[in-house]
Amino acid sequence: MRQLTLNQPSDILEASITEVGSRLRRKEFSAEQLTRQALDRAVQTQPMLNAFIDIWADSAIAQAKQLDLEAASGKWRGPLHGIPLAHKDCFERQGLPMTVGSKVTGAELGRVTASVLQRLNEAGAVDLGPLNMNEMVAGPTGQNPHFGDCRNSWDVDRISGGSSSGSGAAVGAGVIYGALASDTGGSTRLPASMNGLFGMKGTYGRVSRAGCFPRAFSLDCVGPIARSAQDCAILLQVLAGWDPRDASSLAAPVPDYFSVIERAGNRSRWAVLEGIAVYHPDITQVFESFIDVIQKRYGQVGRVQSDQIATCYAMADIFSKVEAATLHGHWMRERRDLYSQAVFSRTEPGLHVPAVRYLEALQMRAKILHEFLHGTMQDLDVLVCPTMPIPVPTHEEADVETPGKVFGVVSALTPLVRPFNYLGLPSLTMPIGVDRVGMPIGAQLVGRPFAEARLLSVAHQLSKDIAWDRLANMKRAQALKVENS
Amino acid sequence: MSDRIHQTDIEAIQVALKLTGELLHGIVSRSDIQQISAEVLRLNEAVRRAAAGHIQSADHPQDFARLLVAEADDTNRMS
Repeated sequence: MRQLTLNQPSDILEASITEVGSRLRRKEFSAEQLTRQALDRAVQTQPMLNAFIDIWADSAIAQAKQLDLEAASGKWRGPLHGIPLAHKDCFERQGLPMTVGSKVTGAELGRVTASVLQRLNEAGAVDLGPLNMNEMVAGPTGQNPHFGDCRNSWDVDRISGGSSSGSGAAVGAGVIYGALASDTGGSTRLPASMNGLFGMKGTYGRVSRAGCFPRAFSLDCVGPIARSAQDCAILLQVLAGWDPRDASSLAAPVPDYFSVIERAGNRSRWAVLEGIAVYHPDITQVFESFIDVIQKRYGQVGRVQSDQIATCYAMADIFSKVEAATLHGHWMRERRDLYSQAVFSRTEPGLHVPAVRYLEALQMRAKILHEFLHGTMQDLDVLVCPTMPIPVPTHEEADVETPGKVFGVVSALTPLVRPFNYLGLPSLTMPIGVDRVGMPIGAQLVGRPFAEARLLSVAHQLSKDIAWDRLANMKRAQALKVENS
Repeated sequence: MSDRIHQTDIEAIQVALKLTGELLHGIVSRSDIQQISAEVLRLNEAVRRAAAGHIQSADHPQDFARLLVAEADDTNRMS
């Protein structure tokens, strides 16, 4: 039986970003030493997880050495100085290859480094290299016929989630402290949830997309995956804000997410969003226990339904397929055989949707958002529902390359997440418990526009309330697997 | 749409979609055209039904971004 060797709780790679940052500043160890440790872990876990497209050891060590030099002269770049991260391979790095998990784009080199990578570099982060992902940012499973499937950090026989599969697996396995992900219809939240992590899809326009390969520019949101709400807050702090390079970037204030995390969620008004999907009994049980915890802290949690969610799902689906078909049309003509079956099939409908339908979805967007905020979310601050209606599937159950299976797998995994890409609302997934085989279950918290500070705050408090312990739960999942084998 | 009509529609439209792909886009399908047809009809119907009677002359796609900023949560101004 294949099982990942887990970190020990005392390992430095399991510490929070805040703690590691403090210890770096106290010179307990250097950025180079920390980076070498993360690289060792990356190499050790790669055969099991396949989380990396490539591990850039030399450049990571060079970055770390430079950061140590700067620190020795008293220059600390920012909150991520010396912190090893790695990122989904859909962000351009000038002069370096970007695969987008595909063979279609070939060995094209990045033109201008993505704005988010520039920001992370300015804040002192070390980049360990490109992470695995679903081909062309499309797919919720982590399956990739070109670079190999990415595997779940809790159970390698189960899917990692996607499309930010390597981001979920590498953070979940304690290789890195956080990772960039992108989310068009759940691609940050699903791998975060399936690996027992926190994943933030911010408000549309909150984080720059400049230099991030798109699936659908009307929906795409870049955001962090990390092991705690606090770590997410530190990463989002660096990433958020207006960017002149991104026409869809919005000029809204950026609060200090980390410093307000203890209080931004106080007195939040909650409701459970129901009626979207039928849940597996394990999901229902864990989720309802979580609602009890929310009620103890925040008071009464109501129950609401929305007729608009199904419409939002369809509208987002139209955006995703039409915008992807527009981008991929040339390649689908010229390099059709280089696509996986799943991605080609999922993009084809976009060629045939009438232009009028696409524009209706575009023109209706503000109206539907207004109705949602002043109807379903009237007098509410946070909506909560599970992140997925089903437990984490095995690779076999979610094999999207089996002819005819892709549409069913996608619709089974995404009904609760995709609608919020259409609405543009911030959505955070957090771990809330485990199912009968020990795999993690996530809850999705949805806020009003630019409610990232509130969502991070409530997730932080509730995580303490449920005493979430990722490593202990991973260990238990492995033991259960041995017992049941 | 009833399942029976839906199936009839799927059968009726699949030849058109195959030709649309090849003649308008120069792209040869790699998928089960029946499944693609079903997907296109599903999406078309869902959006058409939702939009029917709701599009007004003043609606503009950029209203969306403006609304996100206008409706920002109070906590986004915390310090």
